[in-house]
Amino acid sequence: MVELYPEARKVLEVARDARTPSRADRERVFASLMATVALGGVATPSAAAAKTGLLGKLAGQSALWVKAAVSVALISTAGVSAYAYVRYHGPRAPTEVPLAAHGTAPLAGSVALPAPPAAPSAQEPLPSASAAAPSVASALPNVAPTPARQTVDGRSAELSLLRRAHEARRAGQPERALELAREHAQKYPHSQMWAERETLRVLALCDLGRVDAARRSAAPLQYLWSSPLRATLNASCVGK
Amino acid sequence: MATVPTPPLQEDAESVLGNETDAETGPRLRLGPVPEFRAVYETYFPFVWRYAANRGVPPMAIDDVVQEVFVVVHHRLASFEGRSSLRTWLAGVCRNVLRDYVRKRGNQKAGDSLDDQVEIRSDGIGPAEALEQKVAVELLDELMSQMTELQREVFILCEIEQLSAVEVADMLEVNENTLRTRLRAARQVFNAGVTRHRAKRAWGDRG
Repeated sequence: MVELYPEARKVLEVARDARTPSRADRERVFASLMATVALGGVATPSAAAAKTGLLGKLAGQSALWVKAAVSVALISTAGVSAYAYVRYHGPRAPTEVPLAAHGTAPLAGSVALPAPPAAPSAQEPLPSASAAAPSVASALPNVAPTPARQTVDGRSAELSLLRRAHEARRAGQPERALELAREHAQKYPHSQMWAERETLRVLALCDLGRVDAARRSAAPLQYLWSSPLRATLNASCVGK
Repeated sequence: MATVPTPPLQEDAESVLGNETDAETGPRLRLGPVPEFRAVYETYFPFVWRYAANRGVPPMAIDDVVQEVFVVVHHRLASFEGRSSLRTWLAGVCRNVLRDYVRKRGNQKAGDSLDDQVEIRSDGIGPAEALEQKVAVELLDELMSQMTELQREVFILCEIEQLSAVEVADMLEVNENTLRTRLRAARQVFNAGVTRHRAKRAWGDRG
């Protein structure tokens, strides 16, 4: 039997960790879930829109349950349909939150509105524990994993450059790290990893004591409020 | 007004679900007619979330899809007969919900929208780790896209979620030999892809 190579296993473990939800995710979804159940137990598009728009924003806060209950009451009295219609069809502007004021557990409510979820399967035959599961051909959802925008192979040189920059900073050479970050910006002006590069630049500037320059570099990053880099920035000289 | 139940957060789901673990089928429920929903949620939320993500649900839709799964579980948990592991049953629910999701999503071409951006969890990791996770997730997705549908399903359930071959074969209604053949093929695709990626990265480092 072919086994996974150690390096392949390592990649899998890292990817698995990356896709393991946080406690905030767990609480946010649970709050929305209970609200949906309380609203009738079936997530109609209206209910889905309502939960995504309002209840989702409650995630990660204290007294989550109390707020969920209050929200349900508000939604009920104000008219679920009208609210949901506006939330679902209306534009959604991203919320801007100052870096330092934002916690490490970002909310997921103010990004682009996702496609409405599938209708619940409550009316459909469900896979029972015994034998109700459909056959493979019909049951497997035809969802291909999300393709990367840029092939991984094509990113090797870019990664190498960024890695050298990280290593330079770790080795106590922030000037060299800055130089490599500049080189990266010149070579890959539209890189998907610009946030990582700019974070590195901020950290290197902090190392050099150039707090004002670091703040200027961090300015575009404040809009990435859902980025995992936020906590790193908050802990740096620009977040203090 | 509808009332919302307010159970406290269950930090130790095992205390409700029981700590008996079967190597073949995962954690087992204690004796009792119906598993407690909150404990099921606490225990299996990561599994459902990862399964959806690995099946290609974009980050922007994952909350809704995971919620749909647990709405169904909430409705149907009482009818769970315990003839297979709860995880197997849940995986079946996930697959049905995902099928609905795909149908609703229609023929939207992958790669067209922000939906397709790879997102990773945000828990204050450093830039180097974030980079490593991003690359690993992209590599995983790229290599899984090179697998057949069944290979991908088997790979996710067996390798990522560590379900047993018996469980997965039962869930997919294929015999164990077929399953092992698919798993072997999926591993080969993954091994080859990681090796190729490593080689190209090493070549890039030299430059």
